[in-house]
Amino acid sequence: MRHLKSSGSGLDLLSKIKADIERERNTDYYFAPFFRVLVGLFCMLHFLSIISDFQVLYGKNGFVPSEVGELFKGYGILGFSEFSKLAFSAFGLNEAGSIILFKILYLFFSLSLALGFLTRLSALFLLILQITLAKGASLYTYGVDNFTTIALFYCMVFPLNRRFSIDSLIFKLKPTSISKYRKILQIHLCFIYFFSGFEKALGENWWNGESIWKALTMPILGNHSYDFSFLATWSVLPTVIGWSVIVIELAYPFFIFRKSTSKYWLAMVVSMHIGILLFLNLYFFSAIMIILNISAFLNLSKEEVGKAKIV
Amino acid sequence: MNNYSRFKMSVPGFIKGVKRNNLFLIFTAFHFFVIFMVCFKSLVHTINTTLITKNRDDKTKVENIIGSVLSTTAINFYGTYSGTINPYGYFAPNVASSYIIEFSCFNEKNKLVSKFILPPFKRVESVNRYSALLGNFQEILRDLDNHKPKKKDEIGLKYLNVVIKAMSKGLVNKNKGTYKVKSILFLYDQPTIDSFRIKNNAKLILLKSYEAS
Repeated sequence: MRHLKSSGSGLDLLSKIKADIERERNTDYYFAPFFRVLVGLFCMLHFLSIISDFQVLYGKNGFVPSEVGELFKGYGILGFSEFSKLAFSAFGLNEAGSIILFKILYLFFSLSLALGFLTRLSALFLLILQITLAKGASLYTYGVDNFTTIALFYCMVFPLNRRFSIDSLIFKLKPTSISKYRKILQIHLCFIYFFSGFEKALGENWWNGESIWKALTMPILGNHSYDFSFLATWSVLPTVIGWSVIVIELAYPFFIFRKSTSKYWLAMVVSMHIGILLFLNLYFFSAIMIILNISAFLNLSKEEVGKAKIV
Repeated sequence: MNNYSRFKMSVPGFIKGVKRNNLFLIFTAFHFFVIFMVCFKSLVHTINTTLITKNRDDKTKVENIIGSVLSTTAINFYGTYSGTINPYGYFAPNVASSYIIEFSCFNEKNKLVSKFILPPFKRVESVNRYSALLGNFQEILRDLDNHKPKKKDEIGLKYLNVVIKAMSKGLVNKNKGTYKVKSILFLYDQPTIDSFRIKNNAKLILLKSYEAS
């Protein structure tokens, strides 16, 4: 009897979870257009930020020639040199021509994703192009690329074209429940921050301020418009910042879902990324993290967005 | 109603209802399985190498098992295209050391023409990418730390040497009047907070030098 009771409550819990996942939340109303437009614009701006150095970074005669840079790319990844070969065999384009073609395609698919035109297809092609650069020339890859891939993958998988998109006008698409998809993004972010915080907590230097000190005084990455030498005198400051980073990341899954703390935790995470943006010059890494966070947890109900419009 | 017509009627319902929901659940479970495995493997590695063996090259059985699952073609492909194959321990457990490559260009009379540490990038984001490239040279420092590289690491080390040589050779080919390029890889030895307080400044420690002509 007891066994039956417990399995019954187990089933209850499962069905509660299932119902919770399936529930359409008012706060997710604008999630699809919000996420899609921000990711599309982000991809466009991020690509524009290296467009003038494209040849130096990824070209055949780049600073690291593409043949060397792409030597260890993984299975199923198109490197830029292969893209060039394809462009040559299909359109007879030389490398300069294939660079122009790549730039046009990247910007076109970013824009079409933002506008919601053939949304999933645009996200798929953009993802392939993004992986071509990020995984094809993996020597140049850092955190921002991984998170851009995640964002584009979700743009391809989630039904983001059902509201405020060209697709919805052309194909007369009916709005569909988006809450369960947003939940995936939310849980993924919880994994990201929890494990990132856990691993940081294992490093001694995050507890004594040395990691913050080291990150801020890096020779190339750090923002040298600021002089951080005062931190050596006020060493309590990098220590407190280090502890705060661990707490914010490690406790993220526990506080971001609570109604009473969600707003504050979101504000703290966004502030942390603004700090990274300002002091480590990692503009795009911070931007994509802020986009993912606010897309996942900001109240995007009709009422809230309406209020924002009035303000 | 015969079996055929019953089947015909049940198909649309099956697709719309059960199949869609099940597909969503299967996808979600698989997606989070990959994410969890990647995160867990990275965490086990960090715990093992920071708290137990203190040797970055040591791998536990758990890591090997998870690693072999994640490296199967299908999961690796999925992980690559969904962005889930990489762990999230950025700047963890500690912030990695920084490296600098100094390029010195010489003319045919062996006279120094130019010296620089940053390639001719126009944008900050390109500099960030170059900084990511320099992070790969951590392997060379580990090699010099009297550690006997495994066969897989040896290939990585050879590759990094090829990368620097290719950069140097490229500079010779692209810059008229440059006949020789000397590239020196330095470890940027940042002082700790305490040593900075007693006026110790950052030092460059020479790790390796290369020449291309």
